Amino acid sequence: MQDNNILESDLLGRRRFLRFAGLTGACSIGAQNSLMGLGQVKEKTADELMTKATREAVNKGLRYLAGRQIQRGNDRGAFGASGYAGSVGICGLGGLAFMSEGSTPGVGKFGKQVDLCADFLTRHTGPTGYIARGTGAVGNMYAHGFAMLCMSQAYGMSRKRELGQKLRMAVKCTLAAQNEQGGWRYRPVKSDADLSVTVCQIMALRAARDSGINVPDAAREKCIEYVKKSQTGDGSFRYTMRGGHTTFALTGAGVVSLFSAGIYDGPQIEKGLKYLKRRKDTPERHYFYYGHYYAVQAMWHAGGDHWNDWYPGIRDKLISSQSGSGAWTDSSYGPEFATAMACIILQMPNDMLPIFAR
Amino acid sequence: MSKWLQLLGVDKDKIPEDAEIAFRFANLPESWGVFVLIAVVFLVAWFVLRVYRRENSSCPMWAKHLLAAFRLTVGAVLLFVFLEPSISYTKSRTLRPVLALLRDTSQSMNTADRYIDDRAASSAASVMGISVEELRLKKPSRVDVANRMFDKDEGLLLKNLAEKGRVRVFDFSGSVEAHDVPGIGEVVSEEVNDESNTVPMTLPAFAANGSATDITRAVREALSEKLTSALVVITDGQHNVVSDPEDAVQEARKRNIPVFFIGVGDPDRPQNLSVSNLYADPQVWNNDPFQIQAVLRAEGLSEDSVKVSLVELSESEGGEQVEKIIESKDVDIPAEGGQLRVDFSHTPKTPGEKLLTVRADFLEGESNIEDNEPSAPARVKVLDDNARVLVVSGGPSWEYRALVRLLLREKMINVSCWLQSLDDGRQQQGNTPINALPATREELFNYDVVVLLDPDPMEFDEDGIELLKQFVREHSGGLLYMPGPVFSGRFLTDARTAGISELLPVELGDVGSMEVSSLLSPNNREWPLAVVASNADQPIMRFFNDVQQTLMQWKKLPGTYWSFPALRAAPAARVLIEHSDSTLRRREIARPLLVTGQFGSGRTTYLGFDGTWRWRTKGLDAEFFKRFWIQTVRYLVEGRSLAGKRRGLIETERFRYQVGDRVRISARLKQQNFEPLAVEEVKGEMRLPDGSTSEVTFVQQSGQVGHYELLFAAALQGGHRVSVVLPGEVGEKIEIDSNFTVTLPLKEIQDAWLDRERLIDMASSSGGAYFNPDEVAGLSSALPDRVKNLAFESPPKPVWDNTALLVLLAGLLTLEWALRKKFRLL
Repeated sequence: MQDNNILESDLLGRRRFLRFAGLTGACSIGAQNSLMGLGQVKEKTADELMTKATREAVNKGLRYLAGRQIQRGNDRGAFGASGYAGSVGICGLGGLAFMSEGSTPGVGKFGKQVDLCADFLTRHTGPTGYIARGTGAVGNMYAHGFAMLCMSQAYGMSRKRELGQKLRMAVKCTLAAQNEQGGWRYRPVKSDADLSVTVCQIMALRAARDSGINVPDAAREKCIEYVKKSQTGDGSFRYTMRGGHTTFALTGAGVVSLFSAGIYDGPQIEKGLKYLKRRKDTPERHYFYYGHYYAVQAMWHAGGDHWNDWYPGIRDKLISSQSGSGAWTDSSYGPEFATAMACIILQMPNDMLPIFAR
Repeated sequence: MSKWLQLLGVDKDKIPEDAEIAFRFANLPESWGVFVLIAVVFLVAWFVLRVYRRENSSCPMWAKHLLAAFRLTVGAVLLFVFLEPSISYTKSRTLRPVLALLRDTSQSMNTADRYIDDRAASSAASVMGISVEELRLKKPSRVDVANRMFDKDEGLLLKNLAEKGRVRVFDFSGSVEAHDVPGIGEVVSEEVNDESNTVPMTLPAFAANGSATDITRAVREALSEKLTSALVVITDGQHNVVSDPEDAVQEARKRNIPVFFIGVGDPDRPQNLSVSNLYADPQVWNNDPFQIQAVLRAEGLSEDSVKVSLVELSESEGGEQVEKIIESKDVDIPAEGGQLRVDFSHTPKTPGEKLLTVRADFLEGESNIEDNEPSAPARVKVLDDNARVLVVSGGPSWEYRALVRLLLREKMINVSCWLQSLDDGRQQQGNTPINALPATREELFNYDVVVLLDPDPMEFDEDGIELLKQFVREHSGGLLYMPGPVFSGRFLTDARTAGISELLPVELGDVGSMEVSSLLSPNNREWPLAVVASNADQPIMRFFNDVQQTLMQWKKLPGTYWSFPALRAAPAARVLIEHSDSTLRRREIARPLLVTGQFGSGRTTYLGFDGTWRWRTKGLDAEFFKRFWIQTVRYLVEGRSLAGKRRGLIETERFRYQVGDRVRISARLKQQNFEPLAVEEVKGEMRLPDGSTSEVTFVQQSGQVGHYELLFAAALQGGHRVSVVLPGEVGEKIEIDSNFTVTLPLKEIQDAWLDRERLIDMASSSGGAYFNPDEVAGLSSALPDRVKNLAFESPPKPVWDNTALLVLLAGLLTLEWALRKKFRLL
């Protein structure tokens, strides 16, 4: 039987492929331009979108993160000794930010930093597969999800076998914590579910599955179903199945999940994208970076004019809000979180991370 | 005279026949010495007479006088010797300077001018001996006019030139070739008197096949000749390399060597639109878009756009030519004219050989409609093979993920993946998923290409490696091996798998120690990819039809951080990319990163770094990453599709050449039993763009049974097809062929009018003059007359040192002694 997940994750690519039919190696560069002239939307390239100022901002941000990373001792690899900065979630996001630049464990400009992140997350993967450091808000399934996503990206580019073993354990932990509705909540046990944590787990599971790790189809289908049911009539997504508010961040996460499930057009997507555009300048203040982390992915996958219009806006906003040290600030989760998120968002056109590949 | 010379002991053979001979005394006193000598002579004579007159009376007087005479004669002989009698000869010589005749052999000289300019038309018509109307109708090329100038009136022009010096011919284009023309080099020398022998009667005609025009170099080479008196340059003046010919002309002026130009062609910039070049890959894939590129040249047109069509030519069942317009487009013509590139994309729907051409509509006022279509169509072979590709990877590297994602979408590729780290219970990816790594010939030989991405040695053994060797060597399969930092050290050192190194187009050396040192080296610095420029046109490397554009794009791609420490390319392999870190060079050889080669009948590729996925960030939708990989797979597939299923393969290094290039064509041929063909030579056929054919001979490479090579000089623009017919079973004939295209060098065709103003300026500034072709009769008189007549006198040769003089002396003294005895004198 064909691997459904791969097929679906590939459908998005196929759609884009068909849209730009003939743009692959088979077709000449010149012919590409002529096709573009036939009414197709010419998407801007990374070199066009990532201006010199963007690259400088990213470089400063990554250097800030590298400077914040602890180099020795028990906390080696983390971005702080405690709190959010020291959590596996921030470490995972930091690793993703470095890898978005093109660095991989031990290789590249920030290869050492990626290696440290992978080591830290490997060390903090417990016997149950739960990736956490400490307890409470900094050690929840959000952090587990971002950490697992980072590990699944590093896996395959690292010489360390333990990384794969721990990643498999983490996947089992996540699968075990999926509730009957198909979602997840803050703790690594079956309980209630909310869309935000669920999308975080979906992304991590998909990344792990793309790496060749066994993620049963049933689990995948259940969580996608959960996401679909979370969408409201105006295209936005609500926090829980029981109701609750709809937000920019949740809608971004929801649309990314739909793309991930192979739903790449139709009213669900269009409404979701429209909602995001409406709220573009008024995202929730407390979830600015989190919301744009998903929104930029949604627009990246939507491509074409969606992407051409969206990226320059968030790019300019982020560049203008960067501090002199290279950091971005977030009053709730700290500068390490905000900087990692901003760097991931700004480097989306690089198309480096396999999880973001179209 | 000669007898006298012989008597005096002179070897007459040493004296030139035409020399004037003179006698003189070399020791003749001068001034007062003459008087002293005369005084001494008389004194000695008086003394001798006096002494003899006083001798005994027993001696009669007549005897005394006789003895005195003998003694005086001896004295006279000795005086003669003292004066050193000598002879010398004088020869006159004519010193003839070099008159350099420079002939432009670049391809612009093949231009058949329309002769809009009346002066140029009448001049050319006069030379050709036809009317202006006939000239405009027949359109002789510039070469024809130039050759005719020297050919007419029984070579009168050359005779006249030869009167002003020794004519030396320099044929120039991008390079210069000095000609020792039979009939000139032999008889014209610096030391020949006979004027009649110095005149060469004819000058061999020349052909124009050079791909550039370098007047500067030609002038400088002519100036380097000794005793150059003047330069005569026949050209259209379209110098098209970076140097400035005015510099060389000024050098001539400083040496007082005037340069005379004879301008051939039409100075009038034409009003015309032409399709000057047409290019398409000779091999494409069915149902796969490919590009056809036409280069148009617009000059002096008032229209601002033209309709250009891509046309497929075929033959109907009745043998008539059928044309089918595939696509037409309106192309803007720049107001200032110039070169236009028109690209068509075409997707063939049926396999086989296709003839494609590009045709521009005829525009109002256009002077020539015959060149609105190239002289020969592009010949394209549409392949109908689906490529089956097996991708094996030790882990889910980003390279693997990006590559599989790409191959899964490619219609012409049927991919099966084997991710070695895949969890149990997961299905392998692929259009045709597999449940086990192919372990038998039947399973593996289903594929055309195997791609190994840092494979884990765990699942391989000696039998598996041997199977891979058979796959490439015998099945003509393609193999790509990409080492990686995770498994390659073990894969290439493990006794079970190390045998794969025999397949690779690189030499690895001591992998174990190299791997250790590689592990210790930091991988945090990006090294640019050093593309080997001479191989940038290789099918894997090509991003654009223009090589320079391709090279520029390669420079923009992200470089590499990690690379496998291979030593060097294997013999006969082609290095496409090298490491740019000079400290990694071993014995001045850079570390190879991308190398293609051959193993048996199959193609192999070594990709010694881990970062092509980084190229995804460049271009639209990772276009360069995709193009590189699709081209690589196709390159590997073509080895099989062209060779594995048949009796051999004919290959050229490139698909496109320029007129004047030497095309190296290699062939690998097999017998009926698929063993390599073992004969010294194989006859083949070359079909030229004009439809004619000629026999060609492939010669076996020394020590390589079944490998043959042919060198072919590309002379005609258009598609070429080279083929070899091998005997098949029961009278069947197996034809193996290959196509390539020859194009004109653009710089030779884009500016092709006679640049008369420039030639006039240069001639004037050098002290020379400009001549139209019909004015060359006056050229000889304009040339400086620097022929010189010189007289050479030989050193004097003494003539006293000879036997006759010695006998005379001895005889006189003996007679005197005898008389003195007779008359009892002391």
